Amino acid sequence: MSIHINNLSFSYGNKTVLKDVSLMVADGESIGIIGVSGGGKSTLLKLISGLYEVTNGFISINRHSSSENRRKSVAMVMQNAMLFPASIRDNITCGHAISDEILSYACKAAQLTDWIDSLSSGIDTFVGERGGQVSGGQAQRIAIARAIAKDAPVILLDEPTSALDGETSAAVMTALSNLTKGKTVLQVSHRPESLAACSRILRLEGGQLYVT
Amino acid sequence: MLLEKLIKKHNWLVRCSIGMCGITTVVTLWWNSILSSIITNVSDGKQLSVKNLLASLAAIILTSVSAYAKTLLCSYTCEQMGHSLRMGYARYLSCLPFSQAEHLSRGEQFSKLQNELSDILNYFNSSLFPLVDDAIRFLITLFWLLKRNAWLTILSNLPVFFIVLYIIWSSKVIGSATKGSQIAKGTMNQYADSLISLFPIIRLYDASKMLLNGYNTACKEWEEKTSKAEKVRARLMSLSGLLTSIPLMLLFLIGGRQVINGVITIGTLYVFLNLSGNVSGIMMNMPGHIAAFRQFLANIQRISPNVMLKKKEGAYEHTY
Repeated sequence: MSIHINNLSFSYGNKTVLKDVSLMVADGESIGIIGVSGGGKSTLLKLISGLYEVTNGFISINRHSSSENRRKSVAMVMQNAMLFPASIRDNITCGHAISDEILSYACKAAQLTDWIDSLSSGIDTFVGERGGQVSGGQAQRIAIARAIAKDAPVILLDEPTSALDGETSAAVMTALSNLTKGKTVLQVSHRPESLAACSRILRLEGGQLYVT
Repeated sequence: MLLEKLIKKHNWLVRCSIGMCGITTVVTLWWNSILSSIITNVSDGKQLSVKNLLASLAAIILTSVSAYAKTLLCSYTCEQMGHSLRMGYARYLSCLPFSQAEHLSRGEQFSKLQNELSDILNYFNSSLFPLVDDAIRFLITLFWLLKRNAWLTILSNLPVFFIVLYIIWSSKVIGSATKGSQIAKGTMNQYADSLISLFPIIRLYDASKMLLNGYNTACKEWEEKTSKAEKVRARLMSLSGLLTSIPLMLLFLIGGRQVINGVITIGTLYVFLNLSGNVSGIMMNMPGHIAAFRQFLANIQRISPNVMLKKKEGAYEHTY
């Protein structure tokens, strides 16, 4: 699924964070966007995903421009995994009727199977409030499994490994590579090395996109 | 325990307040003693002496002054204890290392601030010293009445022993029901926090239905537990109200017979009736007092780990 962004501008009050941003992402393409913290990278992803309303400019995913349609087409993994105070199962399915087969595949692809098997309550283990009963790496892999289970054609990654240590990040990277296989990917980061797998890397500076 | 630490921290104020409660009770008993002799004299058709009238006047003035001093001292002590508690909670939060602070749940902390902490402060101001005062009045009055007429005091207050046993049992039941309702309320507040903090995920993954179901379940559980707690409280307290009327009936029955037989004067019976509120009357209020005290203890236990009364208590003090 392709992403089309045209003359997109966005401000928080008087502070403009995106100025006339235009971008075309082809179906199956993997784009990396680099930029300093607070430079508007996360805002761009939130606009693409339909979490923020577009006030100036245009965004479409596979020719659908409404926020609702964009939200349906994307799965997003953020810097800090946001978990519901519920079981691992509910955190992955989000209450939707997902078959055991898909659930099992999502857990396997997200490198969760061994860990879940070691738990006495298995996939029905409560993750605690704000995921307080699981580690950062486990929480992030649950978030990835949630994205895999949604099976959205567009994957948005907002510095998904930046809050993790080296060893944990390796397992998460494997999970991410399973998540992004065959999908249109847009990944933002302030570290160039984390965008090594991207086919094209762009730089967001002063609210505008530049080719690196 | 936190309450013990708070009392220790304000040791002198607490002692003075308790002392003032004792003094007020003694003054009240003195006034009742004068009243008893006045009633007996009037009943016998005797003239009241100037000494009697002056003593009455002095007793009335002293009763007012001691009641004023007691209220002032108790309120000040409660405010001081409440301030220590609020500052202890603030100290705990400010001394947390960031690694722990970032995992704090806003819902839970708000719940602690809005429910437990404010309930404790309300209890300090409205119930803690009235409870202490009741206990002191009860003990001093009981000994005084025993000294005046042991037989009448024992017989009219004997059922109180069984009533106390009933109250202890019923307050335990009420306390446990209240605790369950509070835990359910905390869970319900967690959902409100999740709605704000997990808003992007809820929208992207269309999880509002799941969250709403969870919230409705938590809400229903809270409603059921609160309704159960209130039903239990109403049932047990209404029965204890019925039981506590027995001492007054016995007082009329036995005391009235003693007056008829000339064993005691009408003034003494009047004093017994007048002071029955200090003995059996206190018992009538006990279920409420104890239930409130248990609820207060449950609240104080819940916030105990989050209150640092002294700087040295904090494991993470001077981390920064």
